[in-house]
Amino acid sequence: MDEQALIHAAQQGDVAAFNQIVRAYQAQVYRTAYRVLGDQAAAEDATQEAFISAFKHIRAYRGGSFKAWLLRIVTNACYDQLRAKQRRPTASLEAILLDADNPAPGVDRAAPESPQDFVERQELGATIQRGLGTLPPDQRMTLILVDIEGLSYDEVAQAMQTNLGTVKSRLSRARLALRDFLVQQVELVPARYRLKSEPF
Amino acid sequence: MFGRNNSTELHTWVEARLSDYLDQQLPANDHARLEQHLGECAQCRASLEALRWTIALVKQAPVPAARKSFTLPVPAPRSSPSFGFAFARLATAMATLALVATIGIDVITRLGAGAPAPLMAPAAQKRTEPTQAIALAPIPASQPTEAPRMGIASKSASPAVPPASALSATLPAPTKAPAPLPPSAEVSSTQSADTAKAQTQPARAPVAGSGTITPTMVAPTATIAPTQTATPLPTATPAPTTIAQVQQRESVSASPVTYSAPSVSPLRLIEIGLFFAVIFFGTLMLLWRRR
Repeated sequence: MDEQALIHAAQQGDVAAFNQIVRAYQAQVYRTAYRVLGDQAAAEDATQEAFISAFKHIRAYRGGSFKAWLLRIVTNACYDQLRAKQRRPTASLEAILLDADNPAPGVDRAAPESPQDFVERQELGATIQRGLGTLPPDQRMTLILVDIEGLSYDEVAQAMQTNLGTVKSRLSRARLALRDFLVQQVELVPARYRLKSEPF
Repeated sequence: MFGRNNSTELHTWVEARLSDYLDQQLPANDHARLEQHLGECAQCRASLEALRWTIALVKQAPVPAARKSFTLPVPAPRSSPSFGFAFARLATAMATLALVATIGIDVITRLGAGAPAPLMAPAAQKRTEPTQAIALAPIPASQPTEAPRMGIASKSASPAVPPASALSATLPAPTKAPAPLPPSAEVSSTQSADTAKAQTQPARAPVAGSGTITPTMVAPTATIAPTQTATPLPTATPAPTTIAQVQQRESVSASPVTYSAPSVSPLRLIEIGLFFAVIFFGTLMLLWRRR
């Protein structure tokens, strides 16, 4: 059954059809939430809330990019989680991410990857996540949607309920700010991932 | 656009457009100008390379997989309601409708009558008969039987005006009233015969009386008639006994001892029964649903 048929069935209240949509998008949605929030438990909560909200409001979907429509709900769920996090700060899972003997749950170690490579990749992930954490939420979300999830500018504009010019400016500022962070914290980047040429 | 000496402004202009340049989002003229500057400026080229490196790093960063699935629980299919529940629901609905209809009929009937129907009026009226029958027997001969009778009759009748429902309940009685009257009473006075006729025929009452008697006022006296048939009057009675005289005596001496047994109209009984039926079936339905 194609996506539009599943959406139509879900609009009629078919939970099984909606669950097929969930299976198709849950990895991307969770990834986005994790990148925005930097915390697995919060990302899981945001993802679950996003899918529940999507099912409740799926009749409001009137066509267009379903991924963008879904990511708009995810964005709102992430903002809710960020607001909740500001009200009650929790401990970071960064230490777990950096621990080679106790990797983040769900991070699959690639078969040909050596333990050292795996650790370096975990370090890179932690550094990127720390750099993303320095960005304002709007810029962070824009960068994640474009550079990690590969959405077009139009889809991002739809997902974030803004216009194309705002998307471009947010993305430009986010990329430049993250670049500056990584250049300044280059010692945190594993050697094999560092910039070969001299920084500007 | 920028002077050769104003390199800072030019670098700022280029820096702000590097992101769009990488994504091929720049207008053609800006794109050409930026490429021209990149060919001349090593610093801006390094800036562009660092930006490319940043984007590549972001894409290479490991992404943890979710520890669980986010599918929604599929609700169990709802079982169809059982026969008992369906019956209780139907019975409740029917009883409620019947109750509403009965109450509606009751209200319409009362409004049509113009006044609330007393529940015990007919019974009380009938229970006074024995007292009136006793008052019929000893009537002194010297008592006047002319015009004052009508006056007294009208006076005694006026306080006890029954409502329309009571009137309808006692209407059949007067048709038999003239038959058992003793012949002496009919012969002795034509006026008293007229009065008796007026009492047996309510439509003619205003003509026979003082003009103030209405059919409603005649009704109470008509109910006494069967009693007159049941009580044999002594033939030695010098003066004719009329219903007006009976009422005169009644008003002067005998105070009727009335007793009333509680009686409820059938419509009210139906309403009460339907009310309890609604309660019963409604409770049954709720219990069934909860189970």
